[in-house]
Amino acid sequence: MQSPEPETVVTDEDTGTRPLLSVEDLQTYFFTDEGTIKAVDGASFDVYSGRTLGIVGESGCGKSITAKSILQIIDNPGRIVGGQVKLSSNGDASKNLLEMEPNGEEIRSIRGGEISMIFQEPMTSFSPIHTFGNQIIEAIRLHSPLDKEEAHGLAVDWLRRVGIPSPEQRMSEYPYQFSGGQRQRAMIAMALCTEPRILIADEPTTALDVTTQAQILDILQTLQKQNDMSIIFITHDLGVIAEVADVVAVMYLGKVVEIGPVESIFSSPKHPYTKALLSSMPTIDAAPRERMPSITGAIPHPQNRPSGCSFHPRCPSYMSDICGLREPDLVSIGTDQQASCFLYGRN
Amino acid sequence: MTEETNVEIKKPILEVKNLKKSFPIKRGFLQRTVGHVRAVDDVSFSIADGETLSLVGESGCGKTTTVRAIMRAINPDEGQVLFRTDDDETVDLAELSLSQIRPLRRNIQMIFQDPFSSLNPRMTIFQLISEPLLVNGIGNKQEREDRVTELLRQVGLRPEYMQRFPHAFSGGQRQRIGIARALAINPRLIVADEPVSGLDVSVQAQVINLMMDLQDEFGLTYLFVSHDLSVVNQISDRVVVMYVGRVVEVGKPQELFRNPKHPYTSALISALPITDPKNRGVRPVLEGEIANPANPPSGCYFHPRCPFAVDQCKVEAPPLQEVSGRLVACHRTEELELAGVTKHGVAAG
Ligand SMILES: Nc1ncnc2c1ncn2[C@@H]1O[C@H](COP(=O)(O)OP(=O)(O)OP(=O)(O)O)[C@@H](O)[C@H]1O
Ligand SMILES: Nc1ncnc2c1ncn2[C@@H]1O[C@H](COP(=O)(O)OP(=O)(O)OP(=O)(O)O)[C@@H](O)[C@H]1O
Ligand code: SF4
Ligand SMILES: [Mg+2]
Ligand SMILES: [Mg+2]
Repeated sequence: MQSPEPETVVTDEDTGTRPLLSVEDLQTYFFTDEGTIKAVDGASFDVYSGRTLGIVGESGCGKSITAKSILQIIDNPGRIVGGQVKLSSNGDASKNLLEMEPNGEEIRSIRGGEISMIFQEPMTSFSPIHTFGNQIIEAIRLHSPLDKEEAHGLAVDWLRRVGIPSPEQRMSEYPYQFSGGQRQRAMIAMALCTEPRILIADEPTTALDVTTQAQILDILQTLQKQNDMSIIFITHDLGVIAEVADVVAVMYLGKVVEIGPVESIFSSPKHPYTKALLSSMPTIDAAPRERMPSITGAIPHPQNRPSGCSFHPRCPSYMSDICGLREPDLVSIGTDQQASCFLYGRN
Repeated sequence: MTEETNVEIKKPILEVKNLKKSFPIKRGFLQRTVGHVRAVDDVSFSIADGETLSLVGESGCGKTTTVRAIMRAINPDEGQVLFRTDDDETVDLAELSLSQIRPLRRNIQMIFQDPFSSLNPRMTIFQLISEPLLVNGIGNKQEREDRVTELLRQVGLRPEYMQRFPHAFSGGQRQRIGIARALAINPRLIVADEPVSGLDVSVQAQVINLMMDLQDEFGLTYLFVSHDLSVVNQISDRVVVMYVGRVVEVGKPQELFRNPKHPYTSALISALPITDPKNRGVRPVLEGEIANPANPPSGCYFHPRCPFAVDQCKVEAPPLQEVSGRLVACHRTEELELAGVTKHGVAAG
């Protein structure tokens, strides 16, 4: 999540390495009675080994659905209708996860194995009728040849590592007996116990206090260093993103509207939406009692996506001759930043 | 904000004195009481007319319980809640009967955390906002409609929406409806428990700006509850930091956050994410879990997690005392140099 010395984003060119995971033009739609909701509508990004990609954006912009699409765990009436999710293997070939049978052996062994996910709602990802211990042991044994006793030992070890006091005893307790913060930690332990190559963390600290949040970010950072794990970190908290991400993808209504190294996104955001989002972030060093800059207007309903650039009704830089008429593509600005906005060329 | 210091507020609109509330812990088949959760354990503060006072602290530290005891949604065990009425009389809300409180209620209104569950889904926006008028027998139908129109405009919603139901509105819009409802009968004090915690940053900024504008326009007083220090910094005149049911520090946000005088305040600040990626680095993480209010530690409740604790801290609870224009409860406050917010976000400590 964090490199010891500040350095710029790693791209294909400067390391010669390929991305571990590549999401290309992902489209996931929900076909409801009221119409089609394009929850994810052409999202693309790369994830590199040992690095953290942050995904930010307002509620409903498609962050969670993007994450779930990677693992093909989309509920009805949702369907992945386009795109590729390429996972590179240790050898040379890469596999397109979207070509796998959604309930087949192949993707099931990747879920919770090579790619683990921390879900936004911790309560829904645990079974209320099984003890924590059994659930973690089962997760471990699904992806490793350990016997029950070994898996038990490993589970206790992980609960301890994420800071759950007296883990041995807590193994026999049920989810409702844990506090919110403890449940979140237990879920993190469960996601990490199989030592995944990629961790997808969907709002892993949003429900937590700053102090607990700091402890958990610390744990993730340590593990990332130890295992060279990649992290996709989803949040709407820009403060957390500033702290953990190497590269940031900003989403608006199902699309990545800007992507670049975290320093560039914070010091010179290009898309008007990114700029607006950053300036509406409350900061503790702001002068008190000052009005906060806010984005005018409300997030449009995903069914009534505005024409052209979908940010145009709220955009302070709106240009009437183009923004509402045509859809901008992501274009490169500088060496490693991209934004989709006509201010940077009328492609 | 008034010129008064933190320590002495002349003519406060609300003065909370030594408020205590504990809840029984019941266990087993017979539901026997096996202990008590000391949710609010001797809390005192006062609020000046027209100011915004915020309560901050980790989850479970007693913020909501404090507010509920002030509103008499629950009965406090001990302490006083002195409210100054329109006629400049001081009454103790903690000891009045509920029927004596009812006429005072119109002076104090509440905004809730969850804009989704706090609005009755079967009532129209008009019914929701005019309900407090109806309950207090204010105006006829036409007058109430005019008032709701005016209120909707004030909170930035279109009056045409009056006949719609809450489900047709977004989170931020629902929170505006909640604010319009709270304003309907011209209260003097508004108690807001985490009013923006469930909202996106952009919507959060709109709601906070609205609250500050309405305060300037109507001279409202706010008691604001939040665990988000950045939001609190932006909206407050003074901040009360709580830890496990007790007040540990009170001060103006600039002073309190830049130059904390209690180790817990400093720890909270250092746990904040560093909002400038250029300045991120290793920072101290507060060890240990928040103390259990059912079984709090001896002495200073913070001592098991405090890097500065000495023997005295383990045995003696520090009183809340004035320290250079601030109120602090720490034995060692005068000798400590604590890290606070710097220009670049947060000091590494
Ligand atoms: N089961 C579903 N049926 C219909 N629409 C859905 C369903 N699940 C998600 N959506 C829609 O897809 C869009 C994207 O949702 P998603 O959960 O990815 O948002 P998000 O960015 O994670 O938001 P949040 O920050 O609130 O978690 C939303 O507009 C949502 O209404
Ligand atoms: N009705 C109740 N019965 C028993 N315990 C309670 C009750 N209400 C609150 N508590 C306990 O009192 C303590 C303080 O709770 P309170 O809701 O006031 O915290 P808070 O500071 O508002 O936290 P949060 O930030 O999570 O809202 C907690 O330990 C809580 O579990
Ligand atoms: S009284 Fe002691 S334990 Fe408590 S905060 Fe001060 S130094 Fe730390
Ligand atoms: Mg989500
Ligand atoms: Mg609360």
